[in-house]
Amino acid sequence: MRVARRPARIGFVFLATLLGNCLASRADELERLIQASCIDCHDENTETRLDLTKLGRNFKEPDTFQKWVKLMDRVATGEMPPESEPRPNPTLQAEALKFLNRTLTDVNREQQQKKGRVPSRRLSRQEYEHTLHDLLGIGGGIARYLPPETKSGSFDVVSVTQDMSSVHVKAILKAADIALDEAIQIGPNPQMRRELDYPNSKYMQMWFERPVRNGGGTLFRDNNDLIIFRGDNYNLRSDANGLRIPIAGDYRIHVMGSAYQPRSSVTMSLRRQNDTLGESELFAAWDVDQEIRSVSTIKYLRPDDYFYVSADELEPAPDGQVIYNSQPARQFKGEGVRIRKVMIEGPLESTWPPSRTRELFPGIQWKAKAGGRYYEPVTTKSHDEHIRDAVASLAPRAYRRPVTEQEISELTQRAIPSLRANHGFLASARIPLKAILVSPETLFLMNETSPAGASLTDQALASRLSYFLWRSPPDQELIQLADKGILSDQNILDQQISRMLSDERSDRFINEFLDQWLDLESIDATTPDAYLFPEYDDVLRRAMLAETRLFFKHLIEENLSVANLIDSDFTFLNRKLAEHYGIPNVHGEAMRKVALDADSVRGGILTHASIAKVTANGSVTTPVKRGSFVISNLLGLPPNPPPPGVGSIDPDTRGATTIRDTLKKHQSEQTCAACHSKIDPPGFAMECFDPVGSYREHYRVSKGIVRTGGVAGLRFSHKDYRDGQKVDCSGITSDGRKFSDIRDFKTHLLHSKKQVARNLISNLISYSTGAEIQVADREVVEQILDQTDDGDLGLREIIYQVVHCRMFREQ
Amino acid sequence: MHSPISRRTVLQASGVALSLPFLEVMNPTFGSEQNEQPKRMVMICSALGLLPEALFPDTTGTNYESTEYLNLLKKHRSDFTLYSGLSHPDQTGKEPHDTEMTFLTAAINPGLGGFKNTISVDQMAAMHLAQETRFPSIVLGSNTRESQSYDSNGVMLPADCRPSKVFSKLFLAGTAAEQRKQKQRLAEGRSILDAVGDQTKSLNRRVSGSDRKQLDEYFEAIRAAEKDLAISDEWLARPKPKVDAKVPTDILDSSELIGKTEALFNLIPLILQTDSTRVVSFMIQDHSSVPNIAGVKAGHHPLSHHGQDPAKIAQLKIIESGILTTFSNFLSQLGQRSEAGTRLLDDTAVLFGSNLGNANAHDPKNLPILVAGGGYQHGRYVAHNRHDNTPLSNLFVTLLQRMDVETDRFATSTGALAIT
Repeated sequence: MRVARRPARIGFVFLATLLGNCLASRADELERLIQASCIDCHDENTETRLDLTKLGRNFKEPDTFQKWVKLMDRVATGEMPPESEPRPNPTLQAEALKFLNRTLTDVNREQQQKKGRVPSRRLSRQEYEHTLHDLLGIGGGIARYLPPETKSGSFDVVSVTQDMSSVHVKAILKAADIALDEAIQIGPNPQMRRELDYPNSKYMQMWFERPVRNGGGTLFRDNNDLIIFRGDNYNLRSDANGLRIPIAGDYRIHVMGSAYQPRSSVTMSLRRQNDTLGESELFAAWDVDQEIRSVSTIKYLRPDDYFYVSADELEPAPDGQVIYNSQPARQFKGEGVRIRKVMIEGPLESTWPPSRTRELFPGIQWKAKAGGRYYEPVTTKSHDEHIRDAVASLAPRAYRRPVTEQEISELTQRAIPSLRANHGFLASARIPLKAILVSPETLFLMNETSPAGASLTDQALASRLSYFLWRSPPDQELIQLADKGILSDQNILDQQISRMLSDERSDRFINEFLDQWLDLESIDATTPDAYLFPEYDDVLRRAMLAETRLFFKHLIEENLSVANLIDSDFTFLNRKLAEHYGIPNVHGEAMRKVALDADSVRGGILTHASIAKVTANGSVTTPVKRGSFVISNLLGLPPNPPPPGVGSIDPDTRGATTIRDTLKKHQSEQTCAACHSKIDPPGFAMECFDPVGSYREHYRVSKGIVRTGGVAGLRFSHKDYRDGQKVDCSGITSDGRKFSDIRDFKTHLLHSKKQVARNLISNLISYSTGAEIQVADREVVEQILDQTDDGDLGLREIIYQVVHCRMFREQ
Repeated sequence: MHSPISRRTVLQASGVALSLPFLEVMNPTFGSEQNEQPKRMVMICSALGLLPEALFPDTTGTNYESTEYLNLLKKHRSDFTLYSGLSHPDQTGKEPHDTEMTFLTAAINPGLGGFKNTISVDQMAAMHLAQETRFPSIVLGSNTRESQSYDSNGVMLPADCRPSKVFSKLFLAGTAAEQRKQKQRLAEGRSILDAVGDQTKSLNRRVSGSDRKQLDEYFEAIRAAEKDLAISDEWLARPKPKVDAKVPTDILDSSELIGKTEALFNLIPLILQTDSTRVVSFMIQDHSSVPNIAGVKAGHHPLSHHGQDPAKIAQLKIIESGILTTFSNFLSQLGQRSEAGTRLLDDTAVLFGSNLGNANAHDPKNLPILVAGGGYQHGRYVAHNRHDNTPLSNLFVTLLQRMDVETDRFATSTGALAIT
């Protein structure tokens, strides 16, 4: 396997330290190497994309520079010259590479010092959402109003690939409007505490009485409890059962319930649905047994949302009957959920108008009018002055720096024509406030440097740090340290990193970094066949994502080694996921750390069901996609895309051929084998995980039973499979190491620990600074790696090192 | 509640599929030449391909023998031309479905490192016609906001997927209070953009060269948005066209692939007839659920990866036939003669195709491409070299020229592909 070979980049630092001062002669060596080993194929008659007779030697020219970097890397990794050609003279090659590396590094470094490494960047759509949430104290979805980020093979914060057009501007205006609507609440005090009385609601009576064919008969009333036998969204929807969500905000939903006639684990769940936005979401899922359980959760709800209590993992009656053909419901013997009480309380505001409205307009009192039907601002000075106060309070937080008197008055001026036209205080105040939210000062991270050099100002450092770990603007503490000019002091900086990682906002970093690095955001990109993989449901999906996120979070909290990403003796599970993995004695819905047996196939992210899922294609898995994930996402050594004109494999899943047969061509044809001998083997090892991450020894094939509509919420409501061909998880890595299964493979992969660390550090630097690793940055990454013998770095330590490093501290 | 809505309900509710004559009494539209019929363009992409063996005939020319799929379009035979052997070059992307981003743009290597999209052909035409109609273009998606339309900065224009929303945007005036609020919000928006423009300029003076590029882009974007708002403001003062049709009911259930597709198809004739826009793009997407069609038991996307399994191919054909039938009905609507004897179809070039030539293998070559209407001589099957494809952009050049865009190239074009 490619990674186990000593990667050439490690050599750069070593070579760099030996740098001599006879660059001119080295340039000759580069030319000699080209003449000896390259020019035969890469001359003016070349069929490749590289013609070395035309490629310039002015390394300062950006396009030329890029081409030479690529060339250097391909020679250094041994990819060029290809294996079919004679080997270059090793000394000559080393000298030439040494020259090239030094020259390119110097050119790059000079550029960085002159122009800065990172151009200013705009907030990503998700960062904009977090920013408005934190600035205005709101909670509604904002990102959905902004255009999706263009996929460009890297993080959405990487400046050079970000785009901007009037579509963004119009969308941001709209998003800012919606955010201000939510921030300014002057309607009647909506706070309530009431019971959602399912058994006595008029709407529910209808479902008690109706026959099954009209949607009824699947639930019944038992004294003051409601018994349900399926997970569904219309009988129990909160709006139809008489609950109106007055305004958007956080609400506490409290549910009391138990399992009804349980024979196995039963899940009582809470779901939200919004038909206007076309969204549905699993809010919470609780394991229940015969005992009544009392649980609660705090969730954000909009007036057009509804929620409903639901059920999952239900078993049919012992005789196999489901509720539809076993009437009346009262006599049905299958599993169900007993709902005793549903309470809702909220919006959870300590005052009214809410504190977010009060904070937006400092110094203003609010008075109830018309018997509390609305609230009116009580002004103590001129409207102009009050608007000025609001601007002076919001602008510095949004701009992440002190704001001048002139800026404040220019913004305030924007409200005057509206005030004079009698549009009212609030309508007029919105104009400058909205202007702040749409301002380039809010929207762009400018990475200002101190006059003395390339180092970021303390304020720019605070912004970079806070957008790295919180994905939103710095809070008061960071701003104060930056204003005092002491944030860049290493001790203070380290204290801040620690504080920020302990803050729950750092979950945004963990979730969103993993979403992009490990592609967790694509978990719903394909859907497995519900008959072949009936165990996959929302409850499992949620636990799958939680495993990977909690695992990564734990490595940071405990400063555990990157080696755990490859293999670990623990993971995070709840009962549902543990059952999925076949691990006994894990109870309840809470995710917790679980020690794994020594011979477990689990451990390390490649064994997480989430990763199996994002690397699957619907109901099938392909070693190419999974292998590519290992070498690209985990190791950071992406293969070259297939040359143009190469056909793709036409999958044939009729059962006569296995995927291994189909992929044989990859090994037998030289043009394929060059890359696929590296890509496919890790994927072969991962074949032991099916598309939803179950461990398998056989592929599932359909029995071809008649497929009918199932009952929502029933465990294995659909099921149509039998064991097909045996799964072959063995292979040989590209450097000749044999493996028989994923455990063997992970043992080999542990040799690449340092490469995993290198990749993680590089990714964190790209993600936090908004620019990918450049040639001159490589030696800094190597310095971080060289602090330990074999890259055995802890994840917390890595985050500290990333913040300390030159790329983070400079523009 | 997600109760399925029957197709009949959809047809009744949308009320536009049934007849067109009422459209002739509509208000004269602003800005359009009254005597000469405007030229229009409709670009449709079915993102999961069409089974090639069910679509392409063995023989070419005007006497091609029909195929299973072409039988569904039989009554329009003289109104369309089918192409094979067309594709965009260099479409190896990061993810196999990334070619959805480039079907109308032809940008190379979608999603790979450093990828930036470019303007889509419909938006190129829309830019040219921007002042003529209330909306420069209408962008539709059968299930999500993802569209195939990208502006000149390569930014995706979000698709409308709710027929009711499109309808009210196009035809409903709103209450006086709503109009007042909208007017005020527009004025507010313009004032804010003015302020932000000033800030961007002054910020630009404080920053270094490489940062200026981003700010310049933002400044340009603000200027363009201001212009859009000014145009919206102007249109606000003019009454929207009155149509004798009810607001269509939205279908929310994503499993209603055919119903949702049909509901949007039904709106397009109305959009064109009222000259609300002359450029429409419509993406028929993966609905990530099992389509509610008799005989179909698996999702559209999983079935597109049929792996040569005959049972799966049979189901895939049911879905694709359903889509092609909605398309055929759409052509029938465009093909109806008005009292003056004209057909919308003759003024409207319709392209129906896919970004995948063989979805089973994610192959972006040999795309299924069908051009209907637009005043061309049709009725043929034209096969280009299937091993050495002709750039699809060549066809785009011809379609652009038809819209009076003066250009002899688009993206990866190597010439113009004559349609007749």
